[in-house]
Amino acid sequence: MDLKQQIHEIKETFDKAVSQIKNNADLEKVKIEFLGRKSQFNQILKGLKDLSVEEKREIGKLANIAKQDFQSRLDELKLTIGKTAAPAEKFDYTLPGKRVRLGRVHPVVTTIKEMSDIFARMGFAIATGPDIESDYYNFQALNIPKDHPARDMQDTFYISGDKVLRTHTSPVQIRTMEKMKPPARFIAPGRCYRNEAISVRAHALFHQIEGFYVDQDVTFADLKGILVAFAKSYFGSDVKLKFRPSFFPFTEPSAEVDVTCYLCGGKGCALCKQSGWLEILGCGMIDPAVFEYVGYDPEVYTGYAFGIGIERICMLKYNVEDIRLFFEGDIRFLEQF
Amino acid sequence: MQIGYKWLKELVDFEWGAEELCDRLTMAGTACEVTGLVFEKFDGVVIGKIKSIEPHPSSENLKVCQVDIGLKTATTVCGAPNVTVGLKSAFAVMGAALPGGVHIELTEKLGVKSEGMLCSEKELGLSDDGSRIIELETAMKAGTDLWEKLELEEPLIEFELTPNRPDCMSAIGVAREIAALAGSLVKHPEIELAEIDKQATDEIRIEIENPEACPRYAARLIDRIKIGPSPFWLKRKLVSAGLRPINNVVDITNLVLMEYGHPLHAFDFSKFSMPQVIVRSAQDGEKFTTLDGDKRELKAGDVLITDGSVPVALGGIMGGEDSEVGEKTDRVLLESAYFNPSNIRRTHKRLNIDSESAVRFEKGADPNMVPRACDYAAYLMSRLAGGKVHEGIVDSYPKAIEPVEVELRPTRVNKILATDISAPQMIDILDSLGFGVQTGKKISVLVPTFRPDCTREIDLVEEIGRIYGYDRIGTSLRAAGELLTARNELEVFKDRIRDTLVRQGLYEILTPNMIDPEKALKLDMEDRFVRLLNPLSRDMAAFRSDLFFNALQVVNRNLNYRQKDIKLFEIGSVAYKNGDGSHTETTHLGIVVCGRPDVRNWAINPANYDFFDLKGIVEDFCQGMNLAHFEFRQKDWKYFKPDGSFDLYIEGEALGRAGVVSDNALSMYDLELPVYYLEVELEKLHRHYSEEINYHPLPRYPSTWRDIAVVVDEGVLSADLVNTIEETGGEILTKVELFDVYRGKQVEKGKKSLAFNLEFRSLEKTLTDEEVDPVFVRIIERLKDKFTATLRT
Repeated sequence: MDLKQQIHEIKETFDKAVSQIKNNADLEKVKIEFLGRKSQFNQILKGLKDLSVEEKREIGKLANIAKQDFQSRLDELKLTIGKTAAPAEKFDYTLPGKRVRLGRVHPVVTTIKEMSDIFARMGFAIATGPDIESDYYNFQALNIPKDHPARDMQDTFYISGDKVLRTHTSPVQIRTMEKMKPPARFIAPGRCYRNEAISVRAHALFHQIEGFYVDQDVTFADLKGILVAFAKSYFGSDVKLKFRPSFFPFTEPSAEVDVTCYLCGGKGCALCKQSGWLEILGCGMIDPAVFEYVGYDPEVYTGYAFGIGIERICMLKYNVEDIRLFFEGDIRFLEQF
Repeated sequence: MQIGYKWLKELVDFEWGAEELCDRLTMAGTACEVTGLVFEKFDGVVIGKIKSIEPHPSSENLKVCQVDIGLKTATTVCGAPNVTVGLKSAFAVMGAALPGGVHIELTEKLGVKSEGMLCSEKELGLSDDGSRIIELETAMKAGTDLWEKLELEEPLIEFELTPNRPDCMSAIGVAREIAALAGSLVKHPEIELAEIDKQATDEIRIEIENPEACPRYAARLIDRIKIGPSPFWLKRKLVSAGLRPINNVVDITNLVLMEYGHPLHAFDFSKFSMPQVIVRSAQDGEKFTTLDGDKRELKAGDVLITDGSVPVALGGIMGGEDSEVGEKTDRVLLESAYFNPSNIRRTHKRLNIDSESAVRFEKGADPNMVPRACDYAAYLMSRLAGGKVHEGIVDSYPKAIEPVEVELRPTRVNKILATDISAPQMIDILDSLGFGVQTGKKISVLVPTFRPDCTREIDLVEEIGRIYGYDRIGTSLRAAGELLTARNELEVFKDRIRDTLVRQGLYEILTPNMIDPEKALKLDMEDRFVRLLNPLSRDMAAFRSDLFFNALQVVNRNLNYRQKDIKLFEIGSVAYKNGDGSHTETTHLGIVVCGRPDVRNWAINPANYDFFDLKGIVEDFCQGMNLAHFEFRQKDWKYFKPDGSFDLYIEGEALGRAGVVSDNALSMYDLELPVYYLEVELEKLHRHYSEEINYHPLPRYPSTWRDIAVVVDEGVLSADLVNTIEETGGEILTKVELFDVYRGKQVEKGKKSLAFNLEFRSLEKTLTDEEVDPVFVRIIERLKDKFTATLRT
């Protein structure tokens, strides 16, 4: 018989014998049978001397590898035999991994950041102002004099007769313009307050992004242009905008802006109350009266301003039905963003 | 405000259906929408003529009527007081569906079959008058469908008006907008006033003592009024405007209010003690009972209408109880006046009376509408209530309010709007809105007095723009000015903090700035709160002076929701009062830690968070932010535990505090788990922040290590040992790590064993034992000397 074939058969019988080993005695028996002096292997190795140099090398190698393999398998078996009646521990790759919990940025902050980034790409710098604001900056310089019905539009928290919690981010317009000459192009994100009962839809605090641009020859078309660019960037390039005339004391002409509902694409759905449109912001050309407060000549300069309510867009975007969730710090809420 | 579609149709020609009308008005600045129908639909109601009436066999109150309903005669039982033979009324046939889900079926009323029902206005949902059956014009044919005949199907339009447009708070005002959009004209209601041959001025004189507050007061006198119900067409209009019909006189003043937007008041003139109207300012503390029965305390500046001896009305706001028109009134003094918006605003805000009249005068009515509104109402009173109108209107108008004149520059309009509208086109728009335009060298625009919002050229720009259509204005994207804008360093810093803490596994929270100051004071906090004059509630009465209380609130909420892994941060504004009464507003960063890692994992068994988790967050944070390390210095703060209360220093500057929350504070928020807290002043921290990075070349020579364990008294601080080791080790000692703290059997009581791993390395060469050992020995000797440390072997 061919020696190679013979070695192969020995291996097979060995496998069978090993699989039937149940105790140390069995193991010893197998050891003697396959590795002992009288084993078939030894017979083969003894016969090697009759072979050619080539064959000697080849068969010798095969036999030695097999022998070593037998030896190590039996050694391994010897360690576990008797001790473990149960099967060996198996690697279960489906066990869950060892995780490190990641933190989360607040969704309102993320939204502000996303929007700010869009405006930053269009050349708007960031300005900020205080939450506790003077009547002058919050109202008067924005063309909302005392006893004006427009004050009713914004239920105000008062700190004193002259100090309020700002009702919008528009005071930052005044503060910024006071400090510089045009051109001025800024956004001002921040927290605002309204004295109204807290409910699912309304909160006494909310966030806004104010934006404004003052220069020579700024037109209503520039205002439309920047907001269309913003909306396409934020909501998607298919979005359409609708500018509805409206009223704000500090802009004229003023408009409210709707975008096509991103959920239904304008067909009408529950989110947009079947209208196909979602109201997202208010805007307009800065009223000349405002320029007079900051010492800009309204005959020389024109400008636009807009204000975007963050929570409202957040609620629409993530389908959050209760505005209070933003300010409760509930981890089950926060971990979803 | 709400108005029926048909009312508008009467006043102006246009071709649009209700939906399209609303779209067009909305896109021109008058926001409105169709919200339903003025009247709820009913079906199966026909005109019925009462042919005969017989008493009901077993009831005195009921009658059995035979009603001609066209193709047949129906028998019905009716209890209304006004059933009369020959009357035409509404008859609901069997199977009729009435508003409110009522179905008419064959019924038996005390033994008599009733094949349908004669209906009141209330039963048909036309008004809330259920006292009598409807009386229809006799010319109407029996059997005709009533819904169709009266054309009751009418869309209801609701308006959401901006406060600058008081002129749109009326049917005529809206009609004017429609006319401008449709290119048609407003059709004012006709007034055919027949006066009797008696001069009103003989009966009544008017005097205004305070023309600032009441620039105009006019009145007409109407005799022989018969108070009764209004005709259906009038009731219908009021119902569509959301008003409840009361009686003909009141309804007429309300109709004029809703049609022209001008508030009127009808007095029972017989209640006047003298034949005169004196308008004057109230005196401080003067009392007056308004017709809602409330006794009001007045202040100087409130406008009173008096008869020379007693007040009869709170001018422009509400009439008085004593002179109110009632069932028996037959002499009416009809007031049409104009009041100063500021006076009205102050009075009605203070007294909290939001009457239709007050709201309109506050926003600005039209002083020059006074005579027309008065004539119109007087005409209707003669027509509908049999009144005899005395000749002439008594009109006191000391100083006429003239239209404002504004110059219009078409180039300016086009420059702002980026349009190419021609001057004639602009003039057409203004003309259609009721503005007077005079052209010459300059275009001069006379603003009608019903448009108090327009006083400047820019106001005209808006008028032109909104009627022209914002959607017809193009878009442009120009980049003028600096392309590269300045960075807002503090905002960049905040973002960097967020990134770092989020990487460390913290969640960002945002909480309300308003807190309960009393709660804070219970923890002996210093009272520096900036309080609100008009807070929403007691627990939101002051602006927070730190983020601590909100943090505990949030921890409490999360524990209630069984969230155990609480590592949160907030960046938020705080404010506190200074000694001089001014306040400082600044931004803080707060970090709160409580619970244990939420990794119920087969391989990890996490321990509860403790103080060193907070400290670890701080240390990682400083490293991640490239900041110098925070130093904790013991300092007693009331809301921390005495032995776990610290000031935080960075590079020698105190900028925050940290610690283990005190039991008092925990129990205030029902917390049972320990809470670890830190708060720093963000703007101060920012000054220590730099984005500069100093790269150190990687070591070229290997390090060598030594371990050392020393036993010291409990009182010795590890930081002091580390400092001494570092000082003594000199340049070649590159790192000291405290890897074990041991107390127990092998160490004497009152002592602890601290084990350090020291790394030695040189930048120039591989260190030999001969170079390291002497340094190591020196370190040991120094520790022995300074801390009476003993080596642990």
